[in-house]
Amino acid sequence: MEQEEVIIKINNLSKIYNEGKENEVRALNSVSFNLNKGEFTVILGPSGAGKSTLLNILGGMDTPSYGDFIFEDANVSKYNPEELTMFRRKKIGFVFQFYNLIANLSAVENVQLASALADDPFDSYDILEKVGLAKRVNNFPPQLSGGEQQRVAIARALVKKPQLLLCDEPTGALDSKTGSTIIALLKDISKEFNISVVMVTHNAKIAECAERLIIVRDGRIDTDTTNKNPKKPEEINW
Amino acid sequence: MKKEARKLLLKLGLSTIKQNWKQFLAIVGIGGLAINLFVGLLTNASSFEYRVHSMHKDGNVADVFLTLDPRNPDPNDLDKIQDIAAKYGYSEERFYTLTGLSSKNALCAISYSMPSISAPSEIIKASPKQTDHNFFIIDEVLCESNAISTQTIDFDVGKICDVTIDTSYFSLSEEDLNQIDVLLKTGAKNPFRQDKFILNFEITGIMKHPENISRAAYSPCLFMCSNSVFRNSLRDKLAESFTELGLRTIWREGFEGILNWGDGDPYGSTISFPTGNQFLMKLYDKKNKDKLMNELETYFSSKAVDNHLMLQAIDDTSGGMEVNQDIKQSYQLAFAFPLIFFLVAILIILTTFRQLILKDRNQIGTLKGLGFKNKEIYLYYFLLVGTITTVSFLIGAISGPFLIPFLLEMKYKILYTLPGITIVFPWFYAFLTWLAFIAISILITWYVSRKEIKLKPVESMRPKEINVIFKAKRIKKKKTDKANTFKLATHLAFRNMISDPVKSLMVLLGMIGCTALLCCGFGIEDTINKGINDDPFVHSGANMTLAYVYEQDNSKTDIDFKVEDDEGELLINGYQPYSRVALEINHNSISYSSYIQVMGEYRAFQGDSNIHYSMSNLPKDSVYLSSKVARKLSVKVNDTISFEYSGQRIEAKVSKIYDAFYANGIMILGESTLFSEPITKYEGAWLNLTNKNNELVREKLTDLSYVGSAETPEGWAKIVNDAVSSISIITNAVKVFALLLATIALYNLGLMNFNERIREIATMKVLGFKKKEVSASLLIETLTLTFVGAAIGLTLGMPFMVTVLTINEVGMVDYIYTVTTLTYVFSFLFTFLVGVLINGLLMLKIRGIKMIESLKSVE
Ligand SMILES: Nc1ncnc2c1ncn2[C@@H]1O[C@H](COP(=O)(O)OP(=O)(O)OP(=O)(O)O)[C@@H](O)[C@H]1O
Ligand SMILES: [Mg+2]
Repeated sequence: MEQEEVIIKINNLSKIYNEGKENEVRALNSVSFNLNKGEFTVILGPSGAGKSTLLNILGGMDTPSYGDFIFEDANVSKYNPEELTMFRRKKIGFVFQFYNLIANLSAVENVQLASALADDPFDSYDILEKVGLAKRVNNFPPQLSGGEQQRVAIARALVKKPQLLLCDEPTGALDSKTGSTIIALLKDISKEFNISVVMVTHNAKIAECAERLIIVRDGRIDTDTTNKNPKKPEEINW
Repeated sequence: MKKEARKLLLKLGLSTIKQNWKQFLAIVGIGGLAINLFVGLLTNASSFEYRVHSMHKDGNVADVFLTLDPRNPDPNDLDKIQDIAAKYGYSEERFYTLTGLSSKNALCAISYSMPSISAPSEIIKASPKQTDHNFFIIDEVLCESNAISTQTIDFDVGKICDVTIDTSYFSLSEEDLNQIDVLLKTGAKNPFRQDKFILNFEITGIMKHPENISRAAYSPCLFMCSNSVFRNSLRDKLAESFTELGLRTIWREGFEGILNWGDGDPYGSTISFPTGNQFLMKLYDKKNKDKLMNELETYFSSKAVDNHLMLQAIDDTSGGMEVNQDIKQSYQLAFAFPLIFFLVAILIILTTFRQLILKDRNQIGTLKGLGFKNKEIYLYYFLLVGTITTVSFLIGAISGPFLIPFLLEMKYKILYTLPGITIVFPWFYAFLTWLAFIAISILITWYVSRKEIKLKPVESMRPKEINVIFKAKRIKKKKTDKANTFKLATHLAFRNMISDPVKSLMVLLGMIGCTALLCCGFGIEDTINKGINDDPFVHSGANMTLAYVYEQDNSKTDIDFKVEDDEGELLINGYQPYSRVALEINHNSISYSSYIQVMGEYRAFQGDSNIHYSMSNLPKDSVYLSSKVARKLSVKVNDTISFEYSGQRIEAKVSKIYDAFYANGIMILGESTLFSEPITKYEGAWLNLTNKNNELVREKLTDLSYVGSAETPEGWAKIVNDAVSSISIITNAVKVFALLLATIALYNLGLMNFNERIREIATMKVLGFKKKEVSASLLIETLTLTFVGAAIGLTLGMPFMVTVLTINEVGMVDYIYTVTTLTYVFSFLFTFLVGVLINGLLMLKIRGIKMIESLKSVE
């Protein structure tokens, strides 16, 4: 395998809520790892392990208490709020468990909302076609099924050509069949556009299709493995 | 409901109040203000009415006034009138005429002893000399200088004042005068040969009198004098000119019987002073007023010479009419404005509770899940809204009666003499208001909560479904260029507006209300200003307006007010005489009380003799009529109206209808051919000053015995302004409320909008939108609504103002409705600015939105 290009370096990253107070929570406790470009990574762990916390920091939505988060040689952990906004705008795509589409914008407009921010976005219609929604571009979110809404959300995250696509339990609100098509889609995209995808789940089955699997427990990295032959999503037995 | 359950709900309610204290405060505030105004104004009206009535009661004011011509007495009248009066009540006589009291117009009432009818309602100060038969009492108004009286002489108990006596009352023929002449001291002039002479009186008391409630400049003040005091003063005066013997002769023959109808026969003697020419009648039953008046009318019309001048009920006297109208107005005031604010309060309750219940969806579901019945949940919300409205009611209802009457007292003090403020709390209305307030707010709460409460628990715990009212368009595959954030934000904003029409409507209503109120408030000022500035009377072009003391003959051209300064330079170029007299104007058997303005010819002292003030282009063969009177009588140009002036019945063609604020009624030239003889006597004059030293002119003029008052146009404007002072107070209240309305409505709705959009905003932040960009769609939405609302509000400003002014009609003036462009621009900009400011404030909150927390859970 050729030399993989490192895109993210995490060094002794900690997130402590209510530090020094009685109700102090060490959500992340000195975590370190690197992520490669184009890699499909799954973060697995029990509830409360710190998965979302980690993902939020990677997405520039939150700042670590200690440690460094280096993205392409830039130290994001030192960014101020404005720089973080630009970081989210230029580098990151985010997919949520509950879609968070804007109800009063149509599918394509939701995607355009994101593309408007990017310097060199994909075409919004193309990307919707890519996620299989060519026929529903002008529908409004409440008119779409959960899976379709999640596809719109993915399209919206992708349209900016992000270098990092972060997904926090994107299949959490979906049935298994829809879920697996979503994961297949994410994997395809990761390969096609050479985008690093980090997906959080507490479903161990889904983890089987990951190229890289990071298991988090109590704010620490429990195991960090690379899977040379990940399963295809459709092969997974939920 | 179990005790624990009740406790739980109580806790919930308290925490709801704590969380939403800003909104609840807004409800309490605006509700409290509305109630404050309403109950306050009602209290004001009822205590005003109470004070007027108590003054009438304390002074036992007459129900009916019958005034006879003092120059034309008929000895048969007394018995006849007393007989008629005795059928329905009782009566008293007094001598009553308009005269001058130290160069002010005043009404003189001479009675034999302290009257029982129309007596002073309160003696404020009295000298020890004063007895029931020995008194000279003036009204307290004359002792103070205020906006309306330009009083400079200080009247007080023990001070001497002058009363002008019209010699025509003595009805002396040339033959009589010749007879008296022989009684004169050598070299003395016969005072009876002058038009008037002046008597001196020592003031024995100061009073409040029920006939002097109105202090308006045009209604002269009544003073009371006893027969003996009058006689003594008259004797002193005559002693200056007549020999001792002469005086005794005149006295015995002429004056023993003054005001004493029974004793002696004053009519048989050479000199007689008119006896009681006014009858004050008191009814046992007020319902008989018309019967009494009809009988009196019949009596006088059956006489060969109808010698009665006036027959009026107290409510028809100019003072009584004014007070009654003001009482009516003060009640109307309570219903006009607070209603608007009440509606605003309700609008705010509506929006707040709607938002609260949307926020509480989960809570409602949870409560239901716990086993609370729908009824109990309703009860919870009803108690919540009931508590808040009650608190706001209490604040308003307690503060109003202690605030508003004292505020409006500023006006009443200027316009009326009244006893001290008595708070008459309108319990019944207050209670009704409270009931209505509670009922309406509960109804609203029920309306906004019914859908949510009816849902199954599971449904309420699910996110609220958003109505999609936009149909999916058929897909036209098109390649987009770079998408535009602004365009998207605009789309979003408009769809947000349309998808929640109720909320948008509320914002719109708030903005419409604010702009309309502002427009109305400033428009009223515009209208009054226009009235004052354009009024032919106030704005005659003259620099000063004179009013003469009663019946001064001013037919001479070189009248004495050729005022000069120290260097002997003339300060007055000339003057134009005018009269303004109240009369009835008739058209097609409708009649309306108004005024006639008779314009004399300009008399020049120096300079241009052709100066003409406004309306001097009046034709000689027709009259002008003011638009208010024309409206009331439905007169059009070229119609004929009729009226009586200086004893002539005149039919006149109306050749023009003019707009006037104050100078209402008829405008006619003194030399009009409509008069059988040209008018030569005027009540006052407009002066053309050289503008060198106007203050000196004014001082010198007021020193002249026959000048009652000298007013600058500014002074006039002030007098007119005082007449509409209640409206000015209201205007300011309107403006304050407009602001409150805009602020509270916008903030409340903006906050609501913001809270509903938190998730959306967080999503946009995650996508990398900057604060500015996130604000765009929210701003576009509210500012569009503000813009549209303000625009609609502008169109309503004028009708709104007209309504307000119609409700608050002031008899004396006519509003020429005007809203200036500046007012429109200002109202619009102001509303818009408040909108921008408040939204700007709300936008600051975007920074505070935590992306992670906001997006974590469902709704
Ligand atoms: N804002 C916060 N304040 C305090 N503690 C927090 C906050 N956010 C998260 N935590 C705590 O940090 C820990 C990690 O939370 P995190 O959301 O990352 O868990 P997670 O692995 O995503 O769990 P799940 O699978 O249930 O989503 C938890 O113990 C949580 O209680
Ligand atoms: Mg999580």
